[in-house]
Amino acid sequence: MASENQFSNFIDEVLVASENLFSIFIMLSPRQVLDTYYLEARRDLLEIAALLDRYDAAVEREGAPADDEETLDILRRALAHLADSDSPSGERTAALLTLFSEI
Amino acid sequence: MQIIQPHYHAIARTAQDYERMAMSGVVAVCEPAFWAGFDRRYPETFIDYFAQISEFEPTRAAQYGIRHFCWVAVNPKEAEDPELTRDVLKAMPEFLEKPTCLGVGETGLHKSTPNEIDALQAHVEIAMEHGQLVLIHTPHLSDKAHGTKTVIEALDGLDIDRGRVWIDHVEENTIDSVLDAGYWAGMTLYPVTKCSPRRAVDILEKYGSERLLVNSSADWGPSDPFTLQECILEYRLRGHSTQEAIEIFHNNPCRFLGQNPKWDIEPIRIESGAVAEPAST
Repeated sequence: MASENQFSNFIDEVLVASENLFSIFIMLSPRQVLDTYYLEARRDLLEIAALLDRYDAAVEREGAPADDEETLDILRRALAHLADSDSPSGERTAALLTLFSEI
Repeated sequence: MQIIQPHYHAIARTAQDYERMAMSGVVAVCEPAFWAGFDRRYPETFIDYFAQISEFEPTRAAQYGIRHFCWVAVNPKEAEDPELTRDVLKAMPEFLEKPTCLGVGETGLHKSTPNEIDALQAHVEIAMEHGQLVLIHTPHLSDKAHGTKTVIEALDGLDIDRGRVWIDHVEENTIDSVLDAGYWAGMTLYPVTKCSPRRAVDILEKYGSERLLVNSSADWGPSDPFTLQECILEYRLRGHSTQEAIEIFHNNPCRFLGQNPKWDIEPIRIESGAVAEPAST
Protein backbone atom coordinates (compact mmCIF):
# COMPACT_ATOMS: atom_id res chain seq x y z
CA MET A 1 0.00 0.00 0.00
CA ALA A 2 2.81 2.36 0.91
CA SER A 3 4.42 1.88 -2.46
CA GLU A 4 1.08 2.50 -4.22
CA ASN A 5 0.70 5.80 -2.35
CA GLN A 6 4.25 6.72 -3.17
CA PHE A 7 3.62 5.96 -6.85
CA SER A 8 0.41 7.99 -6.83
CA ASN A 9 2.20 10.95 -5.21
CA PHE A 10 4.95 10.65 -7.78
CA ILE A 11 2.41 10.76 -10.63
CA ASP A 12 0.73 13.81 -9.08
CA GLU A 13 4.07 15.57 -8.87
CA VAL A 14 4.83 14.72 -12.49
CA LEU A 15 1.47 16.08 -13.62
CA VAL A 16 1.94 19.32 -11.69
CA ALA A 17 5.46 19.68 -13.02
CA SER A 18 4.20 19.07 -16.57
CA GLU A 19 1.52 21.73 -16.21
CA ASN A 20 4.09 24.22 -14.96
CA LEU A 21 6.44 23.29 -17.78
CA PHE A 22 3.76 23.72 -20.43
CA SER A 23 2.61 27.00 -18.93
CA ILE A 24 6.17 28.25 -19.39
CA PHE A 25 6.23 27.24 -23.03
CA ILE A 26 2.65 27.95 -24.10
CA MET A 27 1.73 31.28 -22.55
CA LEU A 28 3.27 34.18 -24.43
CA SER A 29 4.51 37.33 -22.76
CA PRO A 30 3.28 40.69 -24.10
CA ARG A 31 6.63 41.13 -25.85
CA GLN A 32 6.38 37.66 -27.41
CA VAL A 33 2.88 38.38 -28.69
CA LEU A 34 4.12 41.46 -30.55
CA ASP A 35 7.28 39.77 -31.78
CA THR A 36 5.37 36.72 -33.00
CA TYR A 37 2.47 38.40 -34.77
CA TYR A 38 3.59 41.89 -35.76
CA LEU A 39 4.77 41.02 -39.27
CA GLU A 40 1.64 39.03 -40.10
CA ALA A 41 -0.56 41.89 -38.85
CA ARG A 42 1.53 44.32 -40.89
CA ARG A 43 0.98 42.18 -43.98
CA ASP A 44 -2.76 41.94 -43.35
CA LEU A 45 -3.11 45.70 -42.86
CA LEU A 46 -1.20 46.33 -46.09
CA GLU A 47 -3.63 44.00 -47.88
CA ILE A 48 -6.56 46.02 -46.51
CA ALA A 49 -4.90 49.27 -47.57
CA ALA A 50 -4.32 47.79 -51.03
CA LEU A 51 -7.98 46.71 -51.24
CA LEU A 52 -9.15 50.25 -50.47
CA ASP A 53 -6.73 51.70 -53.05
CA ARG A 54 -7.90 49.06 -55.57
CA TYR A 55 -11.51 50.06 -54.99
CA ASP A 56 -10.73 53.76 -55.46
CA ALA A 57 -8.82 53.00 -58.67
CA ALA A 58 -11.79 51.01 -60.01
CA VAL A 59 -14.17 53.86 -59.14
CA GLU A 60 -11.92 56.31 -60.95
CA ARG A 61 -11.65 53.99 -63.96
CA GLU A 62 -15.40 53.47 -64.23
CA GLY A 63 -16.38 56.98 -63.16
CA ALA A 64 -18.83 55.70 -60.55
CA PRO A 65 -18.82 53.79 -57.26
CA ALA A 66 -20.41 50.36 -56.71
CA ASP A 67 -24.22 50.28 -56.67
CA ASP A 68 -24.09 49.87 -52.95
CA GLU A 69 -21.10 50.30 -50.68
CA GLU A 70 -22.45 48.34 -47.73
CA THR A 71 -19.47 46.01 -47.53
CA LEU A 72 -17.04 48.89 -47.84
CA ASP A 73 -18.87 50.69 -45.06
CA ILE A 74 -18.67 47.61 -42.83
CA LEU A 75 -14.90 47.38 -43.45
CA ARG A 76 -14.44 51.05 -42.55
CA ARG A 77 -16.50 50.59 -39.36
CA ALA A 78 -14.41 47.54 -38.45
CA LEU A 79 -11.18 49.48 -38.93
CA ALA A 80 -12.54 52.36 -36.87
CA HIS A 81 -13.48 49.93 -34.10
CA LEU A 82 -9.95 48.52 -34.03
CA ALA A 83 -8.41 51.99 -34.05
CA ASP A 84 -10.55 53.06 -31.08
CA SER A 85 -8.35 52.80 -28.00
CA ASP A 86 -11.50 52.48 -25.86
CA SER A 87 -12.70 49.30 -27.60
CA PRO A 88 -13.17 46.61 -24.91
CA SER A 89 -10.11 44.45 -24.41
CA GLY A 90 -10.59 40.79 -25.28
CA GLU A 91 -13.81 41.48 -27.21
CA ARG A 92 -12.57 43.05 -30.43
CA THR A 93 -12.83 39.88 -32.52
CA ALA A 94 -16.35 39.15 -31.27
CA ALA A 95 -17.36 42.75 -31.96
CA LEU A 96 -16.12 42.53 -35.53
CA LEU A 97 -17.91 39.22 -36.10
CA THR A 98 -21.10 40.84 -34.87
CA LEU A 99 -20.49 43.77 -37.19
CA PHE A 100 -19.86 41.47 -40.16
CA SER A 101 -23.09 39.58 -39.40
CA GLU A 102 -25.05 42.71 -40.31
CA ILE A 103 -24.70 41.91 -44.00
CA MET B 1 2.01 29.79 -70.41
CA GLN B 2 5.81 30.10 -70.37
CA ILE B 3 7.17 31.81 -67.26
CA ILE B 4 10.62 33.09 -66.28
CA GLN B 5 11.53 33.25 -62.61
CA PRO B 6 14.05 36.10 -62.59
CA HIS B 7 15.15 35.84 -58.94
CA TYR B 8 15.35 32.40 -57.34
CA HIS B 9 17.77 30.91 -54.81
CA ALA B 10 17.79 27.38 -56.12
CA ILE B 11 20.49 25.99 -53.85
CA ALA B 12 18.13 26.55 -50.92
CA ARG B 13 15.28 24.69 -52.60
CA THR B 14 14.43 21.09 -53.40
CA ALA B 15 14.35 19.21 -56.69
CA GLN B 16 10.58 18.99 -56.18
CA ASP B 17 10.40 22.76 -56.57
CA TYR B 18 12.12 22.44 -59.94
CA GLU B 19 9.73 19.69 -60.94
CA ARG B 20 6.63 21.65 -59.93
CA MET B 21 7.92 24.83 -61.51
CA ALA B 22 8.55 22.95 -64.76
CA MET B 23 5.02 21.54 -64.63
CA SER B 24 3.63 25.06 -64.17
CA GLY B 25 5.43 26.50 -67.21
CA VAL B 26 8.69 27.85 -65.78
CA VAL B 27 11.36 27.66 -68.49
CA ALA B 28 14.23 29.51 -66.79
CA VAL B 29 15.36 30.65 -63.35
CA CYS B 30 18.04 33.18 -62.42
CA GLU B 31 19.99 32.76 -59.21
CA PRO B 32 21.71 35.77 -57.67
CA ALA B 33 24.38 35.17 -55.05
CA PHE B 34 22.95 35.79 -51.59
CA TRP B 35 23.41 35.45 -47.84
CA ALA B 36 23.61 31.86 -46.62
CA GLY B 37 22.03 32.61 -43.24
CA PHE B 38 25.43 33.00 -41.59
CA ASP B 39 28.42 35.22 -42.34
CA ARG B 40 31.06 33.38 -44.37
CA ARG B 41 34.60 33.90 -43.12
CA TYR B 42 36.72 33.16 -46.16
CA PRO B 43 36.78 34.39 -49.76
CA GLU B 44 37.33 30.78 -50.82
CA THR B 45 33.89 29.92 -49.46
CA PHE B 46 32.39 32.45 -51.86
CA ILE B 47 34.45 31.03 -54.72
CA ASP B 48 33.07 27.55 -54.08
CA TYR B 49 29.59 29.02 -53.83
CA PHE B 50 30.00 30.82 -57.16
CA ALA B 51 31.17 27.54 -58.71
CA GLN B 52 28.08 25.82 -57.30
CA ILE B 53 25.65 28.30 -58.85
CA SER B 54 27.52 28.69 -62.15
CA GLU B 55 28.50 25.05 -62.78
CA PHE B 56 26.50 22.57 -60.71
CA GLU B 57 23.08 24.18 -60.35
CA PRO B 58 22.47 24.43 -64.12
CA THR B 59 22.82 20.64 -64.30
CA ARG B 60 20.23 20.15 -61.53
CA ALA B 61 17.76 22.48 -63.25
CA ALA B 62 18.37 20.84 -66.63
CA GLN B 63 16.98 17.55 -65.29
CA TYR B 64 13.59 19.28 -65.31
CA GLY B 65 14.05 21.10 -68.60
CA ILE B 66 14.66 24.44 -66.87
CA ARG B 67 17.46 26.79 -67.90
CA HIS B 68 19.49 28.07 -64.94
CA PHE B 69 21.41 31.35 -64.95
CA CYS B 70 23.30 33.06 -62.12
CA TRP B 71 24.74 36.31 -60.82
CA VAL B 72 27.78 36.73 -58.56
CA ALA B 73 28.40 39.22 -55.74
CA VAL B 74 29.07 39.66 -52.06
CA ASN B 75 25.62 40.18 -50.60
CA PRO B 76 25.01 43.38 -48.59
CA LYS B 77 25.07 41.70 -45.17
CA GLU B 78 28.54 40.25 -45.64
CA ALA B 79 29.74 43.36 -47.49
CA GLU B 80 30.11 44.95 -44.07
CA ASP B 81 33.53 43.22 -44.04
CA PRO B 82 35.67 45.34 -46.44
CA GLU B 83 38.65 42.95 -46.55
CA LEU B 84 36.48 39.95 -47.40
CA THR B 85 34.61 41.98 -50.00
CA ARG B 86 37.85 43.13 -51.66
CA ASP B 87 39.17 39.57 -51.90
CA VAL B 88 35.93 38.23 -53.36
CA LEU B 89 35.69 41.07 -55.87
CA LYS B 90 39.17 40.13 -57.14
CA ALA B 91 37.93 36.60 -57.85
CA MET B 92 34.67 37.61 -59.51
CA PRO B 93 35.81 38.35 -63.09
CA GLU B 94 36.58 34.64 -63.62
CA PHE B 95 32.95 33.85 -62.88
CA LEU B 96 31.58 36.69 -64.99
CA GLU B 97 33.04 34.76 -67.95
CA LYS B 98 30.97 31.63 -67.17
CA PRO B 99 28.45 30.84 -69.92
CA THR B 100 25.44 31.15 -67.62
CA CYS B 101 26.53 34.13 -65.51
CA LEU B 102 24.44 37.20 -66.33
CA GLY B 103 26.09 39.85 -64.19
CA VAL B 104 26.84 41.25 -60.75
CA GLY B 105 24.23 40.67 -58.04
CA GLU B 106 22.72 40.76 -55.72
CA THR B 107 24.74 43.62 -54.36
CA GLY B 108 22.97 46.46 -52.55
CA LEU B 109 22.27 47.59 -49.03
CA HIS B 110 21.10 45.98 -45.81
CA LYS B 111 21.60 48.54 -43.06
CA SER B 112 22.94 51.23 -45.42
CA THR B 113 26.31 51.53 -43.62
CA PRO B 114 29.33 53.29 -45.17
CA ASN B 115 31.01 49.90 -45.77
CA GLU B 116 27.93 48.58 -47.56
CA ILE B 117 27.75 51.71 -49.73
CA ASP B 118 31.45 51.38 -50.64
CA ALA B 119 30.90 47.72 -51.53
CA LEU B 120 27.84 48.54 -53.65
CA GLN B 121 29.77 51.14 -55.62
CA ALA B 122 32.74 48.77 -56.05
CA HIS B 123 30.40 46.06 -57.36
CA VAL B 124 28.74 48.41 -59.84
CA GLU B 125 32.11 49.68 -61.05
CA ILE B 126 33.33 46.13 -61.70
CA ALA B 127 30.10 45.37 -63.54
CA MET B 128 30.50 48.40 -65.78
CA GLU B 129 34.18 47.62 -66.44
CA HIS B 130 33.20 44.13 -67.61
CA GLY B 131 30.04 45.16 -69.47
CA GLN B 132 27.78 43.30 -67.04
CA LEU B 133 24.20 43.75 -65.86
CA VAL B 134 23.63 44.69 -62.21
CA LEU B 135 21.04 43.38 -59.73
CA ILE B 136 20.63 45.47 -56.57
CA HIS B 137 18.96 44.34 -53.36
CA THR B 138 17.10 46.96 -51.32
CA PRO B 139 16.63 46.55 -47.56
CA HIS B 140 13.70 44.89 -45.83
CA LEU B 141 10.76 46.36 -43.95
CA SER B 142 11.40 49.57 -42.03
CA ASP B 143 14.82 50.12 -43.66
CA LYS B 144 13.43 49.92 -47.21
CA ALA B 145 12.51 53.53 -48.00
CA HIS B 146 15.73 54.95 -46.60
CA GLY B 147 17.82 52.15 -48.13
CA THR B 148 16.30 52.55 -51.59
CA LYS B 149 16.93 56.30 -51.50
CA THR B 150 20.51 55.64 -50.42
CA VAL B 151 21.01 53.11 -53.25
CA ILE B 152 19.90 55.68 -55.81
CA GLU B 153 22.12 58.35 -54.27
CA ALA B 154 25.09 55.95 -54.27
CA LEU B 155 24.53 55.20 -57.97
CA ASP B 156 24.14 58.88 -58.86
CA GLY B 157 27.88 59.46 -58.73
CA LEU B 158 28.75 56.55 -61.00
CA ASP B 159 29.07 56.36 -64.76
CA ILE B 160 26.43 53.74 -65.50
CA ASP B 161 23.82 52.77 -68.04
CA ARG B 162 20.68 52.80 -65.86
CA GLY B 163 18.80 50.59 -68.27
CA ARG B 164 21.23 47.79 -67.38
CA VAL B 165 20.55 48.05 -63.64
CA TRP B 166 17.68 46.27 -61.87
CA ILE B 167 16.76 47.51 -58.40
CA ASP B 168 14.82 44.77 -56.65
CA HIS B 169 12.24 44.41 -53.88
CA VAL B 170 10.40 47.66 -54.64
CA GLU B 171 7.05 48.30 -53.03
CA GLU B 172 4.41 51.03 -53.28
CA ASN B 173 6.54 53.56 -51.41
CA THR B 174 9.76 53.03 -53.40
CA ILE B 175 8.79 52.18 -56.97
CA ASP B 176 8.42 55.78 -58.19
CA SER B 177 11.97 56.76 -57.30
CA VAL B 178 13.42 53.70 -59.05
CA LEU B 179 11.41 54.05 -62.28
CA ASP B 180 11.74 57.84 -62.39
CA ALA B 181 15.52 57.48 -62.22
CA GLY B 182 15.48 55.18 -65.26
CA TYR B 183 16.25 51.83 -63.61
CA TRP B 184 14.39 48.56 -63.94
CA ALA B 185 12.30 47.76 -60.86
CA GLY B 186 11.64 44.30 -59.43
CA MET B 187 8.76 43.26 -57.20
CA THR B 188 9.48 40.34 -54.91
CA LEU B 189 6.52 38.30 -53.72
CA TYR B 190 6.84 36.91 -50.20
CA PRO B 191 4.18 35.33 -48.00
CA VAL B 192 4.68 37.93 -45.25
CA THR B 193 7.53 40.41 -45.45
CA LYS B 194 7.66 41.78 -48.98
CA CYS B 195 5.10 42.49 -51.70
CA SER B 196 2.08 40.19 -52.09
CA PRO B 197 0.75 38.79 -55.39
CA ARG B 198 -2.37 40.96 -55.19
CA ARG B 199 -0.44 44.13 -54.39
CA ALA B 200 1.94 43.38 -57.26
CA VAL B 201 -1.01 43.21 -59.67
CA ASP B 202 -2.26 46.54 -58.28
CA ILE B 203 1.16 48.00 -59.04
CA LEU B 204 1.17 46.52 -62.55
CA GLU B 205 -2.27 48.03 -63.19
CA LYS B 206 -1.09 51.42 -61.95
CA TYR B 207 2.32 51.56 -63.63
CA GLY B 208 1.94 49.32 -66.69
CA SER B 209 4.58 46.79 -67.59
CA GLU B 210 7.51 48.90 -68.77
CA ARG B 211 10.78 48.17 -66.90
CA LEU B 212 9.00 46.00 -64.33
CA LEU B 213 9.99 42.50 -63.24
CA VAL B 214 8.15 40.16 -60.87
CA ASN B 215 9.85 37.37 -58.92
CA SER B 216 9.44 35.25 -55.83
CA SER B 217 13.08 35.22 -54.69
CA ALA B 218 12.39 31.90 -52.99
CA ASP B 219 15.18 31.04 -50.56
CA TRP B 220 15.80 29.19 -47.28
CA GLY B 221 13.47 31.48 -45.28
CA PRO B 222 9.69 31.82 -45.29
CA SER B 223 9.15 32.07 -49.05
CA ASP B 224 7.43 30.22 -51.87
CA PRO B 225 8.40 30.03 -55.54
CA PHE B 226 4.73 29.74 -56.46
CA THR B 227 3.85 33.23 -55.28
CA LEU B 228 4.83 34.09 -58.86
CA GLN B 229 2.16 31.79 -60.25
CA GLU B 230 -0.32 33.18 -57.69
CA CYS B 231 0.42 36.61 -59.10
CA ILE B 232 -0.11 35.41 -62.67
CA LEU B 233 -3.44 33.84 -61.69
CA GLU B 234 -4.56 37.04 -59.94
CA TYR B 235 -3.50 39.06 -62.99
CA ARG B 236 -5.41 36.81 -65.37
CA LEU B 237 -8.51 36.67 -63.16
CA ARG B 238 -8.67 40.46 -63.22
CA GLY B 239 -9.22 40.23 -66.95
CA HIS B 240 -5.76 40.76 -68.39
CA SER B 241 -5.02 38.74 -71.50
CA THR B 242 -2.59 35.88 -71.91
CA GLN B 243 -0.37 38.04 -74.08
CA GLU B 244 -0.32 40.80 -71.45
CA ALA B 245 0.71 38.21 -68.86
CA ILE B 246 3.42 36.88 -71.16
CA GLU B 247 4.76 40.41 -71.61
CA ILE B 248 5.27 40.76 -67.86
CA PHE B 249 6.16 37.28 -66.70
CA HIS B 250 8.21 36.10 -69.68
CA ASN B 251 9.07 38.89 -72.10
CA ASN B 252 10.16 41.56 -69.63
CA PRO B 253 12.81 39.27 -68.12
CA CYS B 254 13.93 38.53 -71.69
CA ARG B 255 14.15 42.25 -72.45
CA PHE B 256 16.24 43.07 -69.41
CA LEU B 257 18.37 39.94 -69.23
CA GLY B 258 18.72 39.80 -73.02
CA GLN B 259 21.02 42.82 -72.78
CA ASN B 260 23.59 40.17 -71.87
CA PRO B 261 24.23 38.10 -75.03
CA LYS B 262 24.47 34.93 -72.92
CA TRP B 263 20.68 35.16 -72.42
CA ASP B 264 19.29 33.52 -75.56
CA ILE B 265 15.60 33.19 -74.69
CA GLU B 266 13.58 35.45 -76.95
CA PRO B 267 10.32 37.29 -76.13
CA ILE B 268 7.33 35.37 -77.43
CA ARG B 269 4.10 36.48 -79.05
CA ILE B 270 0.95 34.39 -79.40
CA GLU B 271 0.09 34.29 -83.09
CA SER B 272 -3.28 32.56 -82.94
CA GLY B 273 -6.29 34.48 -81.67
CA ALA B 274 -7.79 31.29 -80.30
CA VAL B 275 -6.32 31.49 -76.81
CA ALA B 276 -8.59 30.57 -73.94
CA GLU B 277 -8.99 33.51 -71.58
CA PRO B 278 -10.26 33.18 -67.99
CA ALA B 279 -14.00 32.68 -67.66
CA SER B 280 -15.78 35.65 -66.15
CA THR B 281 -17.45 35.04 -62.80
